[in-house]
Amino acid sequence: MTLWDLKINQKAFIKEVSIENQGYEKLLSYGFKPNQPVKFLYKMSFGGPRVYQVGDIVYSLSSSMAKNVSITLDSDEDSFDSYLSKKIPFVASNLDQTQPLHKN
Amino acid sequence: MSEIFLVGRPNVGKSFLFNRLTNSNQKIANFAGVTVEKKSSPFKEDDDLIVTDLPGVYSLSPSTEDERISIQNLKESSPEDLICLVIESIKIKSQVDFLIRFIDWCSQLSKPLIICINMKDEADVNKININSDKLQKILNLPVFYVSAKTNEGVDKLNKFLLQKNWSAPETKKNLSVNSENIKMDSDCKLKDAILDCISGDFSNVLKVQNKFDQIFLHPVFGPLLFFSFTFILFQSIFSWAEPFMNLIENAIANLSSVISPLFTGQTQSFVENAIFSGFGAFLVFTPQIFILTVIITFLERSGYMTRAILICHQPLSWFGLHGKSFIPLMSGHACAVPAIYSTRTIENDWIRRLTIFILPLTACSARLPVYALLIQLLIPNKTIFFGLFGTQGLMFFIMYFFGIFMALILSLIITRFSKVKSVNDDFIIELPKYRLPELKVILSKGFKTAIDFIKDAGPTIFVLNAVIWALSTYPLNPLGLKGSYMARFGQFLEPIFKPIGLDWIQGIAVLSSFVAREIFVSTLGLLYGLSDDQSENIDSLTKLSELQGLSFASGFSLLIFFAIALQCMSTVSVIRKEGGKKMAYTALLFYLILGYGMSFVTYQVLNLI
Repeated sequence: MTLWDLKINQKAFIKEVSIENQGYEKLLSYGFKPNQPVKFLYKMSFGGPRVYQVGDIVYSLSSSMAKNVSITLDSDEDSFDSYLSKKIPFVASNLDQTQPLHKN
Repeated sequence: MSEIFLVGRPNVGKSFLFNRLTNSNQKIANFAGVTVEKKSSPFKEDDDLIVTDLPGVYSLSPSTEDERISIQNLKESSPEDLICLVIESIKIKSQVDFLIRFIDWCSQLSKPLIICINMKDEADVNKININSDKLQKILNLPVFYVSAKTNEGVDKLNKFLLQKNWSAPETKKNLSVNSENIKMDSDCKLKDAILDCISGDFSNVLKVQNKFDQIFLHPVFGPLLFFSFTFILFQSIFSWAEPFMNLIENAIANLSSVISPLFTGQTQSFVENAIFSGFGAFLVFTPQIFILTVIITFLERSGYMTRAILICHQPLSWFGLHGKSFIPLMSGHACAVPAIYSTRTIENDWIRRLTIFILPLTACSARLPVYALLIQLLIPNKTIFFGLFGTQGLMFFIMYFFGIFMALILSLIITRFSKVKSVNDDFIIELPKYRLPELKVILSKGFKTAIDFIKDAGPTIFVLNAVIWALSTYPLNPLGLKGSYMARFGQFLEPIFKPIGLDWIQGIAVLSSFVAREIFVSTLGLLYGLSDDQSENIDSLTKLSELQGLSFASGFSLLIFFAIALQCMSTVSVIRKEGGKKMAYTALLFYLILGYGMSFVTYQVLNLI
């Protein structure tokens, strides 16, 4: 199941981001990391981008991006809001481990 | 000379802080990607320190042109320079991972670093507490908790910067490439410790935003509201500006009637025609520039602009463009030059170049005086729809819509016939919090743009008016303008302009507009003033144009020519910088030929009707 399959107001947790897509690095840098809670807020007309709350930030994603984010549904009604006052473990990514760039 | 680099995620208030530290007036707005190139200015407390505002970055691996500029600048900074990582208080939780990685990166490169948590005022409103002292101890780095908006905490930051005593974060010397697990463990602990410094109910932060978004992003009402806002924008430029335009027009006429009689002979002619008729005709249109800027600034600072990007993404993708093309297309209505720079936020190079190429078709503010003059001349001023809208305002909207329509059609044609068959549809954008823009800030932005408009074009218009006046006055002869050098030159060129319905006077005005579009109006004012014996009794350029026999067909042909032709050399120069020499010259020639061709067809068809 991916982000794009969610119904409006449905909540979930991010399982993983598909590495095959070229938007992978971008998604990670924007904070789409495992264990992050997400909520589907709005959809646009004509199959346009959809709006998701990821942690405490609201993003809009096109289908090509949203379909690369695997999720697990969140059955707990209160968990999303209560997340905002909880700690999420540090998640490193390949992107974060960028080698230091050369000094001049 | 040391440099202080302001860096951080987009829309965290870096430019606001930059303005505070340097007493500058750099553009601030409420969406990601306002700063697309580095801006530098001396620190207000010490000229030896240079403060540089860098475009926002989401990670240390840049994916857009503006991110590349930021990372490149940070890489090239010297050990004497300071990096100031700016973080938004109410979104601090989602920025902790980036903060940890950034500190790590700076320590490995021995880059001096400080942390600046901005927007304290918003955290206070939402009852979010950040213990900056505790955070400073944990990170072992100077941490400043400020509000660039209210100036709270900025003094403390100023004092620190004046000391010029900064150092790089401590390197974790015991860590190596093979000790990734140990490093991860320490990062997890560090994140926990940072989060312990933050308390409060974050769920309130998005409540207001979500309420507004339920309306503005509604699948049906959202696009309807968007279209209504755009329509009102162009209506208001015409109707709200009218009283102020009349005021300026009367003031210039009164001033002319007082000052001109103080001179005699050719000096009087110069003052009356070159200064008051010519320069005054251009000055009259500044209220419209002011209103356009005020409304666009309001939309930018309120946070609505990002919603507009979102609403427009899918429709724009049908024409081969991207939602992020909307900001350049919208800001192109003020000026194409910053609009072309703002395409740097578009990740896809093909779409970025396509957006740059079609941008000259958006109706920039320099076209505004020309449109206003010709619309007043061609369209009778009546009210329609129960007196809600004016016909001239509606025509104004149609002209702006025509520019966008042509841009989209051209984009579609280029996309269809290009080798690029499949354009990457990736779209991701952060939706900022709604903010009520300060009236004072919006008005001052409007005034600044209007004054800049006069300052930038004024000297050129003045010099050109003087040259045109001289060429139109000399040699002194009994025929007046008809026997002048200008008449000889104009009549020589008349065969070029005749097919699009223009006489030699209008042709000269069109030629002069290649220096700057708005010069067309002042040149016309000057030449008509010189050629008409009754000019002292007629203060309206529109009436003069009517008297000179500018027909309906010729007027429309002119409108079409000005809507399409690329007459702005600053735009050509920026296209060359951002898109290359080939694109710049292609655009110049293409729009000139297209503009001439379409005005020829317009004139011939309207004449037949």
